[in-house]
Amino acid sequence: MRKRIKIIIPLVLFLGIGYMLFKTYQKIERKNKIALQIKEIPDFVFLDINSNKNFTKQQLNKEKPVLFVYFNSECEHCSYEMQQISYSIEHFNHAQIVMISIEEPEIIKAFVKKYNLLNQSNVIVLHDKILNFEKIFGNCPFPTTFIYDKNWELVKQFKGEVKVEALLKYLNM
Amino acid sequence: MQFYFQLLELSLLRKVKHNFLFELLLKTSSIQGFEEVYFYCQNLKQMAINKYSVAQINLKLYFSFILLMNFLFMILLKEYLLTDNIYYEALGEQLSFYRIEKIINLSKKWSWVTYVALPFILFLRISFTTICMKVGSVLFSYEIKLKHFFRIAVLSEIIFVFAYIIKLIWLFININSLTLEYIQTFYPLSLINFVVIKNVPQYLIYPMQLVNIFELVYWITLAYLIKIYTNKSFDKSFGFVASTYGIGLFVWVVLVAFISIN
Repeated sequence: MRKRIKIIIPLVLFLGIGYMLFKTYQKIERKNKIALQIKEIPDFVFLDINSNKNFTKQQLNKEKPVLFVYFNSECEHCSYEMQQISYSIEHFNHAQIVMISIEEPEIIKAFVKKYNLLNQSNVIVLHDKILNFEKIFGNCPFPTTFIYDKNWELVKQFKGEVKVEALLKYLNM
Repeated sequence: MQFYFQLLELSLLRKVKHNFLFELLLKTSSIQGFEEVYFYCQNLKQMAINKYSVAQINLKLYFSFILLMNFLFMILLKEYLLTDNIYYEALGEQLSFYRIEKIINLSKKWSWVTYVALPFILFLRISFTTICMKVGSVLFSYEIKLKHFFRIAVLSEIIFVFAYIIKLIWLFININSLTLEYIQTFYPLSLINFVVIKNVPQYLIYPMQLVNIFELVYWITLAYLIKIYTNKSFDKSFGFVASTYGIGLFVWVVLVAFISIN
């Protein structure tokens, strides 16, 4: 019996450690790949909830900085950030705000409408139908904000809610 | 001679301090020609006294002392080091004053949970060491009871009390230049102090904190106490600690890195 335990325990440990190390290595590789991928605005295809058509990177205005906001309507921090952006929306006229959510279009519409952001000319509201956002931009809590300058190079990434002053500071860089 | 040694060892199975037979054997072995026996007896007596001394320490009192020190450290950290200013500086770039205030109030409201959890965390840490060594004792055929391993783990815990003392002294000396990140990541005499934190991936911070002098001293203390209980050499005891607690710690670190990266 003791002989069996002497074999089983080290074997289980070895397999367990091996699995976790392998998965950790895979995750690190993926994180590094994504970090490289998002250095500039990556290619994406999401559904524009206003036009009900696919929206791609090529449709963005090439001379304006871009603010990507990944959100969920049930997230209190997302609500707070949307509210703050809506209060200061005139300060964002020089930028494009791309808001993306995995929820159903009706829910997204209602949420964005609540903060008077639905019909803003510089606000694009997208639906991530096939859960592609995290494959492109990496694991993101709600809300996550990516700020790209007018050369479409990543200036800053924020995880969690962000105050308007910080968004504007990096958008104006 | 063989029978004589067996008699000596038999006498040590009982409490040695006032064992008449052992004392008699010790006196008779001082006669010329019995030098070898004399030194052997002295060695056995010292080992038995060490074991007896270790066994005599009141474990409840000792654990209570360790717990009290941990409470004291936590109070000093929360009240004098983790001030509101530290949070405003750390979170001020991203969050508004009002939101930081809300976080601080929430943190103060629930801070009692950390105090309640502290004894359990300490007990878990000691149990982890105990279980690693007990599992190892099955594999390596070390005849030490679970309660003795637990005693060894509790007694060795004092090393981390010293680590905390030095950490707090250092933080208080540098109180004017503290940041939240520094308070969270600093560990005295560890690998993490030789790198720039911003350049270290999140999943490597904890492993780098663990590589420190106090951890090594902890291993040495465990090995020394195991040597007392097993009468094996220090090298063998240290090897036992490395291949039981050491492996367990490695598994724990890999698990933490795995969870943090996910």
